[in-house]
Amino acid sequence: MLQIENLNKTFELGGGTFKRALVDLDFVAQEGDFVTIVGSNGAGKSTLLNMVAGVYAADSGTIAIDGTDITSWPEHKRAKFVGRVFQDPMMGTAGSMTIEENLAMAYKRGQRRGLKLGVARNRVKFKALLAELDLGLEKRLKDQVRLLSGGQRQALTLMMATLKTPQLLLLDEHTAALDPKTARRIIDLTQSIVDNHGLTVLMVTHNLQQALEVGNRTIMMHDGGIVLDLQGRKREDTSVDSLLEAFSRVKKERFLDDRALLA
Amino acid sequence: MLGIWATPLEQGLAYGILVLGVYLTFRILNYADLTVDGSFPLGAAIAATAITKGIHPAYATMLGFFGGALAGTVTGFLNTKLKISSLLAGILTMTGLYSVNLRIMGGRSNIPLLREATLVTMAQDKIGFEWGAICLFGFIVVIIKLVLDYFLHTEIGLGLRACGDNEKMIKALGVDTDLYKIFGLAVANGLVAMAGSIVAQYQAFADVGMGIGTAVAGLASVILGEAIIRPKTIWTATLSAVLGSILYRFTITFALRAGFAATDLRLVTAVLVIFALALPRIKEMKLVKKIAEAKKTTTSQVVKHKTQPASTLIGSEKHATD
Ligand SMILES: Nc1ncnc2c1ncn2[C@@H]1O[C@H](COP(=O)(O)OP(=O)(O)OP(=O)(O)O)[C@@H](O)[C@H]1O
Ligand SMILES: [Mg+2]
Repeated sequence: MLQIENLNKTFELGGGTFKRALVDLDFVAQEGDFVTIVGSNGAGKSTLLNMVAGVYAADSGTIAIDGTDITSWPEHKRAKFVGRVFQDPMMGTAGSMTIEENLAMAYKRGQRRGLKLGVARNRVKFKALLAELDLGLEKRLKDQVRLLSGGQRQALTLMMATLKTPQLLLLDEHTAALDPKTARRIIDLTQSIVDNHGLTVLMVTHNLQQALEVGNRTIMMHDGGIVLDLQGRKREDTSVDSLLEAFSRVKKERFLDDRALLA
Repeated sequence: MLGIWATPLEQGLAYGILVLGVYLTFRILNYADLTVDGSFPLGAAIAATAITKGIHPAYATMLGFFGGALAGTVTGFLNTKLKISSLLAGILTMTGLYSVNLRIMGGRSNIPLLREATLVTMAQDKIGFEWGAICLFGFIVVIIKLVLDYFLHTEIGLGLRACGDNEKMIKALGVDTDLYKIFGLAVANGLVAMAGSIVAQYQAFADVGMGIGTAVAGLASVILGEAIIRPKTIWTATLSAVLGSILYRFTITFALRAGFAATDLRLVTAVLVIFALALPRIKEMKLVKKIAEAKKTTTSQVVKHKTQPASTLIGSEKHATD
């Protein structure tokens, strides 16, 4: 469903220094895969998601969805396939606009927009969908989104990202800014939406427990590459502790590699 | 009947078209657009030249709109595609427009329209001298307000509003934000130039220097209207823009009556805008002070309680329930 081949991305940090954020990255996700992505800060997780969404252009390599090469597509064109939820709850919604207006915009994701009223006939549908969230938002359709709490905003963003069923859902630490209880709710909500639509998902998280519990596959990134790919039995047999161990082993190996190179 | 308030009301309504344009860039696109100082006289130059060439003033006014839209497109292109900062992009277009406007006016810096039939003289012939201009401008500005209200609730309109609110988000939802911004700037400057066309017909001349300070005057009007109405919806926001425009002209008339020299008004306007822009800051500072005072006056015990670590807090709560 998603095929990434030999993807490279280097950022210029200024002053002649560069950061290789993705290095010769290969990755394939099957239809219906729910992949959790772990890795230390700066490993390149967000960059990978941003590259798939088209925020940055690739230096080299290809990205394809369902066999269509989208490497050179601009971000707004890829939106047809991709739904996104960001870490920052402020990021996924327009605060000065109302709940129903935000939903109306999401309802047109990746489609031609015209001169028809945005909300109008869809209000009933939005109300019903919001009622399913059980957050009382269905009574606040005309409230500005900036009046909502972070958790409510994130739930709304998740709904918006999946309102028009995306082929691929990208979640970048989308529960990181929430309190544990709300985070749990959002994860449950994610799970049920994904199950309902059979979505293909990439989800970045720093919660190793969650990474192993949710989804059917876990990859670990380090220094711009994928260093561990767990699925099936192997994943079931992996505990948080052994994942942590893998973390430090990876770091040490790299360190030794470097030492060997230097010597 | 209207006495001395006729002129500011007429001006307020005519400039209301411009203020709606400024509202569109400043509040919807979140973009301080200085193209206005050039697109306003551009509209005047186009309309005046067209009218003296015998084109019907209604068409001349529309030509003015399209001229302004073109100017806005240029600014939008500079900003989105060439990545020139919004302020500089506006200044560059405005500067270039000065020469363009002189060209359009055939090298003259002023075109009189005294002998020409204009939309204003036509309205005055039909409705009467006192109410002609007011009815004409009022009609146009209300139509534009209503069209804008509708448009900003359409699918494209929602996308445009999101461009100014959260660009990253609306891009992720599939909107070509560059294109939308260019479009928004085009419509806004079209309105500004249309206002220029109409003001030229109202004062019966176009002058190449008539644009100086219009951007800031437009901002002042938007801000003034918001201060009075405190709009929460699009409908009330566009209304407050028009009312702000009228209020601004009234304020100026009042200031002149109060003995301000006409040449001092730019300074008054600038100070007004600075004050309005600084207002949130001032409020913030007051709030900080209030919180600090509130902290001082609450008992030290409460303050201590708050800074206790969570674990001991739970402990003490347990104690209290015992
Ligand atoms: N726009 C950018 N410009 C310059 N450098 C960038 C940019 N985006 C990412 N980087 C760099 O690329 C590297 C990978 O960043 P990325 O955000 O992908 O990490 P991450 O795995 O998401 O980390 P975290 O867990 O902290 O979110 C980092 O060194 C970062 O500084
Ligand atoms: Mg990240």
